Amino acid sequence: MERDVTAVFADETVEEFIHACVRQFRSGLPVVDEEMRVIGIMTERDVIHEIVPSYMEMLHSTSFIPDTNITKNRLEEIKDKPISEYMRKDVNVLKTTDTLLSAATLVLKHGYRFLPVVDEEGHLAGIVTRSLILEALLS
Amino acid sequence: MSILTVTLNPALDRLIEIDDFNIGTIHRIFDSTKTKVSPGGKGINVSLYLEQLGIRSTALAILGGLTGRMLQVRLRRECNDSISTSFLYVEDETRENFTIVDKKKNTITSVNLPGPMVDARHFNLFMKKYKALLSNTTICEIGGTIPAGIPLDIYKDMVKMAKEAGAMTIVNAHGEPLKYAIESVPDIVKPDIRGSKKVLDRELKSMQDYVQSAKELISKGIKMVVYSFEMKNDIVATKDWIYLFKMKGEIESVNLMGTGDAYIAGLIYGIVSGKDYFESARYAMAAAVADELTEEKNIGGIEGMEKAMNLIEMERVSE
Repeated sequence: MERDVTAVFADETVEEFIHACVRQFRSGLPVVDEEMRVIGIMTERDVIHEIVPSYMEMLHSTSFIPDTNITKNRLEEIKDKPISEYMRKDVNVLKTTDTLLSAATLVLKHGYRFLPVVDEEGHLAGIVTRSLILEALLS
Repeated sequence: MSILTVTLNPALDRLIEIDDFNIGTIHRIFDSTKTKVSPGGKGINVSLYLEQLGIRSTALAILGGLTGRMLQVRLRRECNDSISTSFLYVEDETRENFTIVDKKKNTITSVNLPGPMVDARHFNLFMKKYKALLSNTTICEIGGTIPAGIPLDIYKDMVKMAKEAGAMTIVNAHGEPLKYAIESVPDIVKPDIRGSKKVLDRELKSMQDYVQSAKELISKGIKMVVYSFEMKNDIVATKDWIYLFKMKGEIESVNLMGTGDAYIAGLIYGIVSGKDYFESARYAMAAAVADELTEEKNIGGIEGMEKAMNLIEMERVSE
């Protein structure tokens, strides 16, 4: 586990979330309440899902996209909206007492890039990423 | 106990050893062991020293740019087990502090760069993070300079918020930020008087000045006041006593950087271990002395600190 409790609040904007991810070289961040309890996660995938037209998933190349401005305009529309509208609330969390195996199962099997780790009271205690899991498995 | 250290203006500390350091000349360093880079800033330093004493803490700081990223990576890689981090990232660069140690001439030259500009939006986010972390904090240590964009009276609000959250507050600052912090009556104050020896408009020259100033701060409701006195000694005051904590004899100082932060870590160690203020002050000074005896930010763990306790003695200077 990386004992980094850097997180975002649900009322921060999508734009603030994007800046936070870029500056921290992260693809997503835990979302916490005012007592540092984890209430969800927000990832770049959630933003992309929101701004890219659904029919794009059916296309094999971006060259088929009729107008790339649709994506840009959509981002413009949502950038000032709160994270709470787009974050994932039904996310799995790990506990500080969980084993490497259970962490690996959740993170690798379910395709999460990272998962928050919480203490006994649900406070954010850190995060586990795919690469941390792989590094732990190596050792 | 949950300990939170707060550093508004952290730094990447670069220590460079140069014999015969001269202004206006090029010094080329070929021995890489003569340069050291470490995460710094008062709160972060306190967390680093606490780690050496086996005490976990959370370090809250504002970071920016590539320097901030470097600081974050070093802190995370070197101290993952005992230091939790919470960072707010801003656009501008985190500052760097350069310290040139010339062992031949016995001089220390420091160049401290300015920190980032923190705009109102990021400042508000930082305070929100601070408030959230306070909900699970029993000791809150606040210290250091304040970056541009953040009001100088911020420590007043931060101390007030920490007290409202039920946390013990320790402030290690200087000048205006210290003055404002005192208005909210922190539990423990260690004025940083390395630059200006003036606290609450009182110039500190003689021991009597220090004692009077400590008494003035205690009369405001502060439980413990610590003044560094004549470089290597401390004047420590509570409502019941004022003692001079001093060295038993001469020791060969290898390092005077960060000793104030080692002091705070030793103090927290004492408090967490259930000691009273007097015993905690002994641990604190021992941690600072242990740090002084080594070249890096290193007090040699609990063993190093306890060993250094034999080097100090106490003399009562006032009721």
